[in-house]
Amino acid sequence: MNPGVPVAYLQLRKQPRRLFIALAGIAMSSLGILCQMGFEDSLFRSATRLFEELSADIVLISPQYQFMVLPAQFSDRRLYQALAIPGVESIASVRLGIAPLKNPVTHINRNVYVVGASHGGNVFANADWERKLRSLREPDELLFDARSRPEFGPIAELFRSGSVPTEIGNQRVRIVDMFEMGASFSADGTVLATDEGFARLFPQRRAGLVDIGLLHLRPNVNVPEMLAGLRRALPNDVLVMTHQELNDREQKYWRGTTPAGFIFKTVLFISLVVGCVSVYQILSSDIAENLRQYATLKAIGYPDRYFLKLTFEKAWLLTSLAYPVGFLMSMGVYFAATHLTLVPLVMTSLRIVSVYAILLAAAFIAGVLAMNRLRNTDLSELF
Amino acid sequence: MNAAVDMTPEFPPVLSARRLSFSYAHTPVLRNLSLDVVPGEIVLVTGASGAGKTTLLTLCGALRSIQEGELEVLGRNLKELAPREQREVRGSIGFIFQSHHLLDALTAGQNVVMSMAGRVPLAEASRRAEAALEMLGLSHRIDALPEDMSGGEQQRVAVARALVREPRLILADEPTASLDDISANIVKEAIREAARRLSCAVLLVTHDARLFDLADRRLRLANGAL
Repeated sequence: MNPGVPVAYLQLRKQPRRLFIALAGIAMSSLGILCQMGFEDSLFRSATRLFEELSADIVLISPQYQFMVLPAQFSDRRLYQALAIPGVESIASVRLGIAPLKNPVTHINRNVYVVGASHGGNVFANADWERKLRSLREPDELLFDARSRPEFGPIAELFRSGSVPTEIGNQRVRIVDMFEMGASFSADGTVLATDEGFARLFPQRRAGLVDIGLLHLRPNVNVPEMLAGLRRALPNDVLVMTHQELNDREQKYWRGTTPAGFIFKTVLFISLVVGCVSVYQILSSDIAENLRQYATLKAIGYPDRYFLKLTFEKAWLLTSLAYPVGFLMSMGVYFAATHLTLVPLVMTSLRIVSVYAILLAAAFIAGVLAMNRLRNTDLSELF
Repeated sequence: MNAAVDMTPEFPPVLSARRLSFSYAHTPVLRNLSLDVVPGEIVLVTGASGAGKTTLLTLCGALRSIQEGELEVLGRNLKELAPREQREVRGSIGFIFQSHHLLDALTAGQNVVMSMAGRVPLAEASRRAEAALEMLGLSHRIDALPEDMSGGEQQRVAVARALVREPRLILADEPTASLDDISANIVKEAIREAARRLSCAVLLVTHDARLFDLADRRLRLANGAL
């Protein structure tokens, strides 16, 4: 039933103050959800940024491994055992540690994440990192993440004049090149070293122990079969998984084990409730004020579904008017947060569309709830 | 008696109540009431407050469930109808309530057009709305919002809304109660014209003596019976 009159629009426009409050509520809800999703995505992205750059078909880790800041070592003999299995073309290893890096200007120490890549390369899929890593000649030479937090000092600026001497854990080092990765919620900055360089920075670590083993398979090798074969062949002091499974495991740790996942979900829920309440408030007020008018229309033959459609139209109008405002505000927050934290927040098309859809669904639910009163109206009360 | 009524015996009644009874809790309001209203006939019902006039209207309008007796409206036995079918019957009834119940965000014209949704193409609905408002002396108020209109004008828009749908039955409850003489006369003539032109039956509940000469039959409801 289409009356040919834009009833939803006219009724919303009739109460400008109430409309403004509802739009503000939905805009704030959009802002909350978009920011929450941005922060969450940024956290999980940054948590696996390093791992995503690793070059591996299959990885080995210790069963004691928790996450990148709390890794656990296993013997590199497992890598050599794996190499003996037909189908494994080459191996590489990664060592992970945290040590204080001295700011070359202020001489204040701040913990930096140290990644030691095995000699021989083929550790990173990122060609630029790999090329620069192979250019390291001496154990005291390091690559520094140019997008690390500024508290480490103006290393990128100093580097323009040549290598930057400083100290890591009281060991003299020289930053001889830069790479770009970005800070994360668990690491303010990162340096890449060769395994010799890593051993020099962490002399207490036993030689022969690695944190992540990287296996490169020959072309056309069936990965699931190889995974099963490696699991049978290797002792249970290592876990065998695909590269993607390692990334998923790292994200799962952040989502499930740390409070971050719960906090993000809570903020998402609260933001959604704010949106729902904003829409419900205006729609239910509208129905309460026009109850007799709507009941009159019902009496002359308008079905309930017309009023449901009318309510949905209002919910759609409210969401569509408020969402762009929330979106623009969230872009401002993304921009500011990226520049303040150096942890990149990226807005994706999928997120823009999905948050709009979530809000629309929430608005429709609010509309259905608001409709209950009209549905239960006793038409005989009209006379 | 007007000319329309002289013709009516040839036509089946639009509204036919037989032994209709209705109680609120254990208080009977209508008792074995029987009534026929034929096309073009204007039946005016009077009675004391609480006599059951409004209950009779709500039963005839399929707005309330029938407890006892039979009630046929537009040839359909209301007792046997599903809610969707009752809604179809209501679609052919013009309701005029004591209060106008206009949507305040819509203009007079839009309110009238709204009543024809799904029944008449939009262009035709607009044309009819203009004609109906003109008949009720409101052609100059077609773009006015209810808040900018007097109570009498609002009620006349509500009457236009009921008549423009060309109903086969009009149920009206004190349609002129709050109107001045001029507005009341306009409404009275509009109802008379609708009954004559559309041959629609009218069941009108009122205390307003200004409407008494409109009636083909005047009935008094007392003790639940006519």
